[in-house]
Amino acid sequence: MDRISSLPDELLRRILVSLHSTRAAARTSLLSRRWRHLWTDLPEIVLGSDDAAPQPALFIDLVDAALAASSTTRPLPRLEIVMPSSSYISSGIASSWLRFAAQHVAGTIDIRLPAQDQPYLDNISPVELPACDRATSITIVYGRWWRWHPCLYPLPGKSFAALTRLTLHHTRMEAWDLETLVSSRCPRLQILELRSISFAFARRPLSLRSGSLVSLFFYVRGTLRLDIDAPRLEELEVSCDVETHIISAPKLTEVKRRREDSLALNCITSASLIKLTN
Amino acid sequence: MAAPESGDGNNGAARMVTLISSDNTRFEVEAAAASLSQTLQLTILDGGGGGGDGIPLPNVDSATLSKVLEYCIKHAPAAANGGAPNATAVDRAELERFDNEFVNIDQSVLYSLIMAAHNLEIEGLQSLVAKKVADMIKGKSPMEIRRTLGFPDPTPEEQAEMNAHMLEYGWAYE
Repeated sequence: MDRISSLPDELLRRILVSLHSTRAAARTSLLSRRWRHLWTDLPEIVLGSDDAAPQPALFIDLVDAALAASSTTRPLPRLEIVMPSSSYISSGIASSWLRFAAQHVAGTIDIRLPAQDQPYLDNISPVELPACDRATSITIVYGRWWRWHPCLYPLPGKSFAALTRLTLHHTRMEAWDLETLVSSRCPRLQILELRSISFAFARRPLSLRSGSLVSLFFYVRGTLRLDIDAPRLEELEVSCDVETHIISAPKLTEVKRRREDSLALNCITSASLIKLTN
Repeated sequence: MAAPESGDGNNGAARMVTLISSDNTRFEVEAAAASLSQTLQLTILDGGGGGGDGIPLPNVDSATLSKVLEYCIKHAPAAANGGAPNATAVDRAELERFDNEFVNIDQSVLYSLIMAAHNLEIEGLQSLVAKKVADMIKGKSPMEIRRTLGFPDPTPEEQAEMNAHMLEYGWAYE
């Protein structure tokens, strides 16, 4: 006899969460009628990082099916999607996942996309990031930088009211969108990590204002100058080639400057410290 | 290892409390170990469990309680260090070795343990057992999971239902 079925639903769900794989959890839906819907109501959706990964081509279908089958009656504390590195994703599909995240996640959104190493026609349109007003942490990471990456475009609308941490790697953005996002739409943002970001258009100075920002890691290509007005800022790292103007950051004692290798995956190659003189 | 003891086994400065299982066995254990249970911690802070009183645990039998206390006694020193941020790598490796061996037990005991850990609110033990059961499920097909967990063979009716369901959930199996 299966003694496991004597456990209350709450504990069975806890066991399913320990799988850290929505796909593996969904397979238990076949055990009996009682198990059928247990997996749809877990506090996290985790697709791709573990478990025997399906073929890259099937991965998008897998995510779409899992998102469609998941219960969305309650806010979701965590959504994690890690695509296989040798796959391809269109802007439209990436946007649809972010739409799901914006609607349902109250907690952590962690989406890792593969490098787009060819000029796919449907990536001319941007990946749209809707306002995620309940997300506390958002990570959007492409495998490595490639000039064919679509632009990440924060849709106008509500603010990212609960967001305390934003991490973007190997992504393209408009300078203006980044400024607006940080300066006026993320009132609680404390940690901003920008690595291997490139701007869609011309090189220009960038100005970031934030009343909440504590840590900033700024590796944005094509930035000539960075103006910072962040009264709570305590930690700042910028790439060597960016001229930094501190307008206000009284708690900041030093600026760490590193060179971001233009080709290396993990971009940090050397470090030097420059004491602020003001 | 916590064996049933008589009420006056206090051989040091450490405060002892007595826990009474559903089948009326008395266990005397250091308050620090019992306090890994959030539920018991409140009672103990209020001064309960000392002397001849004992704290009755009507939902936990003596076999399960003895196992639970084995876990608590092993983990109490690390927990007293606030989750052991300053524990040495050797200590951590030893705890890990203990944990791995600790859950290497019969399934029915695992389920009794996770129920007890749930009732007593022992977070670490709940996670440990949940992970152990998850490891038994991971990477297996539904039929393999059924066998591992001791589900009876499906009736033809159930089998037909499973087949239909499997079509719908193709994405979970491909």
